[in-house]
Amino acid sequence: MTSLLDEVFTVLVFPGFIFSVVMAFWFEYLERKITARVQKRVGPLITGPRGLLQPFIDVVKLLFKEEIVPKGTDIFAFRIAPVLAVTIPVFGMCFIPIISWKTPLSFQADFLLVFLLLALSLLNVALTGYSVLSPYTSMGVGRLLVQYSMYEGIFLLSLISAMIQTQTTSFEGILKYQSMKGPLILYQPISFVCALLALLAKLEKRPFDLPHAKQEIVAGWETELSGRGLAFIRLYTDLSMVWGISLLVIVFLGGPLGPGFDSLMPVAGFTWFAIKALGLTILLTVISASTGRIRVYGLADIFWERLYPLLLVQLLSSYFLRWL
Amino acid sequence: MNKLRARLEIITSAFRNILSTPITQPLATSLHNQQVRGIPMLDSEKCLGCSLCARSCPPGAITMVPGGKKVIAGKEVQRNIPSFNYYQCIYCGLCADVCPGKAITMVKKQPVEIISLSLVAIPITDIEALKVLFAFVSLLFLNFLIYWISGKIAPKGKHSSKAEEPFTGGVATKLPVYRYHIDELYIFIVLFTMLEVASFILILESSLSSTFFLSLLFLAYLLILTLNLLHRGVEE
Repeated sequence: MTSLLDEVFTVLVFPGFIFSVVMAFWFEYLERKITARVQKRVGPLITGPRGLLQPFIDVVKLLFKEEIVPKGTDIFAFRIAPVLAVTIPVFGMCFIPIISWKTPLSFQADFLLVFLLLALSLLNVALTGYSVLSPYTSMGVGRLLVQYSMYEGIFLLSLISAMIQTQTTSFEGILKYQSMKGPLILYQPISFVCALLALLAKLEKRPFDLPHAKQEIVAGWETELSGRGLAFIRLYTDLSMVWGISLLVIVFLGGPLGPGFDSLMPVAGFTWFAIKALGLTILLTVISASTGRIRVYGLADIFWERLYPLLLVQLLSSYFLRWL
Repeated sequence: MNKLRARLEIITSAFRNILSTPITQPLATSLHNQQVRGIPMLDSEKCLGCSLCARSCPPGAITMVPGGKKVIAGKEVQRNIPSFNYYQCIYCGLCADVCPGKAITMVKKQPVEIISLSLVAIPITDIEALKVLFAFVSLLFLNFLIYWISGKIAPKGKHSSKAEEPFTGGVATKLPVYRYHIDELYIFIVLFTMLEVASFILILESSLSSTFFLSLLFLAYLLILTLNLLHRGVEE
């Protein structure tokens, strides 16, 4: 009975639904504020203390607005895809050990689940776009698929190089390895950089925001959404940012590990995790705020020509790093 | 004279061989008779952990890995169970003969099935799988609830038909196939799928160095293919 309660708590409160949604709002606030500062604006200011509640209000406002369903819509995909899209990153967050070695839901191969969820989340986005087949959405989804086939391999291989070195298939094993030998970024700086760039492309941040390029194709695959659908999809982008950053923090930066983790388990773990995630968010936002959009061929240049050979070298070296 | 007789013998035996049944057989057809021994499979419930099989194995294809507990004199101790390397195995069946608990049996299988056996099995129990499923379904239910309630609360106005047209001012009534039909794009997606398969083999086979390097080589080959494709695209 207690285990069931634990599980429900994990799924609904921490680190499941409520926690990850709050983190999503916090990360979006940070992103908007830092981007505004880079561009010499003030950013969100009015709602809440220093505009802290602005992302929350935005989503709630959209939730209670009228949803207009365009003509010729595949209504089933139009309704179900946003809901599934929000579910997947939250589900992924349930397996991420934020305050201790593992969560009540973890199992032996929970790290492999990440690969499945990454592919599924893109499927939902593509479904959302294709449910209304207008020129802008089909162009947006086309660009999205091209981008996916480029960044996803890089992201997978950089996570796999971490798995090869640690010889585990679970988050717990990766954390245990890092507690003995230090964070993995020291051994695999290349795969960390590759994963960071691939994450930028996955989140459709600035240098890689081709799928919803504002000045070219209106809003890409989001063009025909309104009301609750748009609210869910906006929540999805923020949630997948939370999930992706947590993945990188756990795999390469040691997650909750740090001085005092063993003695003050929940508090110290959470503090270290929050500090690392904050640093990574600021880094990502500064990169995305200070660059311009690239062309599709530039995308191929970066991911296949530059990063992929580097990653192959990293994979080979990670095999030998085992005996360290 | 001797020479002639030898040649005659060769010819007669050739004709005899044509008419008689062959000694070798395709593996798939001989799975159901006694000529194939099969492959060794472990029933880990029955295993005593004595490691006799590992000592008896001629090519040394069996290693003992920790798995489960056993009780010796009222105390629980770590038990080692055999793990088969099916690439080194010569399928002689000695391990099954020597096993005192009859935990190893020879099972007849196709070669393809043997390759899939040599990948590392992911240990997951039914309870864990149920937990994961429960988590996903409850999250999905929660999200649907929020979606449904907000849909009920949201106002519904009356609109002219103009409002319900897509952003571009209308779509064709019969949707034509004006999606992206680019051959290179499909090749990209096929290459990407191959990459995913290779990387999964990398994870699951990471203990075996020859397969590991083979899949790394395959990944490098994929890189060359893609670069060729990209440069062709740029030239056109």
